[in-house]
Amino acid sequence: MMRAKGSRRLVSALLLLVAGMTVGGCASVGVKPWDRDILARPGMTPGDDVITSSLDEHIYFSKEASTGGLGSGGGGCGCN
Amino acid sequence: MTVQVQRRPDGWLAAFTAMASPCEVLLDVDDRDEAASLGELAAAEAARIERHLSRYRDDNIIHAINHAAGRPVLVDDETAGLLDFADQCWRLSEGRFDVTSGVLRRVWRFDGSDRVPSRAAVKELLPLVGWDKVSWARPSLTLPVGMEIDLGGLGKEYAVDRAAQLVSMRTRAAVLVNFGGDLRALGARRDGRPWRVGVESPDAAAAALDLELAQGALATSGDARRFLLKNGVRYPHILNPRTGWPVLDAPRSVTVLADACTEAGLLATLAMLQGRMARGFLAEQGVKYWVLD
Amino acid sequence: MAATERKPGGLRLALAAACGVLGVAGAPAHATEVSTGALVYAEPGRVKAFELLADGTHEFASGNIGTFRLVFDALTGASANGAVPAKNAQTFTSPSGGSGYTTAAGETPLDTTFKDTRFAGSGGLTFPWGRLTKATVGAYGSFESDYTSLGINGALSRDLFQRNTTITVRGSHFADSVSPMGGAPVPFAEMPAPTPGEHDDKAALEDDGEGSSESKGVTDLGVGLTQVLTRRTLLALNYTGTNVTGYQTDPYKILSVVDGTTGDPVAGTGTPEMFRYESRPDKRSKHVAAAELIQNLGRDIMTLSYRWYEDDWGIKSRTTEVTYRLNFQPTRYVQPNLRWYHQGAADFYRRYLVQGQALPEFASADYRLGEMDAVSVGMKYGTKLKSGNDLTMRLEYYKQTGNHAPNDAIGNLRDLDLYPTVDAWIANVGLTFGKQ
Repeated sequence: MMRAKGSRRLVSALLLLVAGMTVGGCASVGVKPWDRDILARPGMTPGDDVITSSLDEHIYFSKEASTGGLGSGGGGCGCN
Repeated sequence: MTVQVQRRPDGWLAAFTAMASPCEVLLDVDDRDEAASLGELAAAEAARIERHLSRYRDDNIIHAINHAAGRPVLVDDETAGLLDFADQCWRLSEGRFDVTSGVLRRVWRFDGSDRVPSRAAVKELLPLVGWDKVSWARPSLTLPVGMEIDLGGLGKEYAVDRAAQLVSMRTRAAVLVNFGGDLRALGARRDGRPWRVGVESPDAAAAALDLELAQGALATSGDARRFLLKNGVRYPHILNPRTGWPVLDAPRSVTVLADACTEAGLLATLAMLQGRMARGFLAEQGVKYWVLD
Repeated sequence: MAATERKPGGLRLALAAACGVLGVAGAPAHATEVSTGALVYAEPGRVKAFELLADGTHEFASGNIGTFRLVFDALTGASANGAVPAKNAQTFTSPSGGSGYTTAAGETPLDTTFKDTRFAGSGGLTFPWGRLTKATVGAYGSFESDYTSLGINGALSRDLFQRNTTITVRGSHFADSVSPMGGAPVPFAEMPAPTPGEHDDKAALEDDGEGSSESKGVTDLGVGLTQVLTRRTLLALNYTGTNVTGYQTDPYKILSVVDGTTGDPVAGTGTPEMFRYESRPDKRSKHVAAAELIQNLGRDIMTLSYRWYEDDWGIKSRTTEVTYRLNFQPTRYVQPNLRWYHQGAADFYRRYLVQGQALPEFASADYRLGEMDAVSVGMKYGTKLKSGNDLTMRLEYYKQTGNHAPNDAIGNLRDLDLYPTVDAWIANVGLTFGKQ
């Protein structure tokens, strides 16, 4: 029960954060389309290096009990 | 508008006149009719943009903006895009590139004479120059009374990019669009060879530029015939909108190779505005360039 | 006046971006981009793995984007089987039957017969749905001699606020089937004695009436948000809930049964030591939330990420990762990375079973379900080759530590390492073709 509550709290906190940011999106947060030069540079996109991140994910998937996160959540395998 | 189609060793050439420049579209196709229809497409686009952006007409958006007498004008998407772009260029150049600087032409006429305007005459116009005085909130533009905008400084390069894109949407063949020396190449030809591009030098004594280009764009800023000469001082036609005076140490011309013609054109113009710092400025941008002093 | 980007070439990048907005962007991004990678993973004295990977993206003239990924990997070497070390040598049965293997006195029992190869492939198609929404559908398949996973996935993402915000909703379902060598053991059944001379003896296990194949279903549902905070800062948030039903026991993992006073292994039926197969619940629900912040620092880029994980097996974990991309030249960088991982044990994790005590409902001695800390330290180098392709090389060290000597260890087990440290070296190279 404790755990279930804990994760529910986590989810609501995240949702609040998301809501706050998207509302803020209209005003101060964000940039004009033509100010995206820096954001367009290599290294500024999550999951930029698909090769390294998917190899890493596979290793951690095999060695640890937690899976998933920012990646798209890969498929299953029986690897140790 | 007449489009003339001729056979060339490297394909078909469609030629026409637009924006007071000789315009060419080179096409790596076999069929004359196909070349003609693609050439007409490019010519029609050039004519459309000229009609749309010319400040010499009284039936377009530029006229509406420049005669709004302080009232806001709602502009179309294309003009809005160009204004956004101009806004960005103004900020990137710290005010050196300014689409409101056209009013300075009332006192500056670069006709090769010695008629340099008085300091007072220039100073009188400066309140009418400055993009920061304009209120631009897409799609609404409000100019203070007496101010004008001129998108002609972007128009030809923009037309090259647009025409090249329109043509490339209709054909998979390699295309070279060249409007008066500002050009863009889309793809190597079927034999694998790039386009051979010659750009005439503004100075008859200097060698013309001759290079090979498969993908990319070339634009030149500078016109050696447009200047004033007084007491041994040469006043080139590059005006600093912040002072209202020419950039005296600007190179004769700057040619830049970039991905898009609009980009190359802006880089060339911004380099000219840097005066003798033009080379350093271009080197910092990591582009290929040719500067003629 | 807005700040002007002072970095060399920054103005050009800004102009190029502005040209993109104007709709006259330069050379279009290459329609096809393929990345390939190779990895060597080695735990000295234990597992070695080799992996090859190819990942491709193709943009069709229609605007649809197709992706594919192919993976091959091979694993060999020894892996901890779950049994505790003992002061005497111990003998184990190989999963495939046969003559079994022996672990020396005081050593952590490792299954030395561990060997597998895997092929996996996936494909996807992303297509625009209106001006601001994109939809993705995809399929996945992974094949090993004893494990098959087939999956489908879908996602919808929408850009908001001048594309400063992207919200993604995604889901996937995987149907896995496990066909363990020698059949799936009955939970807590005693590991039978080795049968010398027979290399394909499944009889001992199949006699128990269990089918040789088990299945598992994994359903993921997630939401993600990517937010541009400033011209230099990007934040990505993600939540994924996962529900797993079906067979989740590791058919090759066992638990030692030890004497309640001495801590020594007790004798089994016809074997000098008794080992029981592990047993895990057939339901698991997981919650993962992750945040990643990417900050441009002028020349360099720093990335911070944090991940919360909890599941109803009682496992909680926290992961923190920092990378720093040092762009020492316009087309070259080094990128050190640091990762800290902590996980708490599963409720049913226990290091061994005690003779005479009632069997729990579930139990596993799989070290991956125990409490552990892991640290990764790595360094990546990236460069653009003369050909225009991107090359990356990386070396990483990974170290996993747990509780070597639990307070409640019994008798002689107090003198033995009950959670050996795992060290691993990871080296990989990646080559991307066709990127601008």
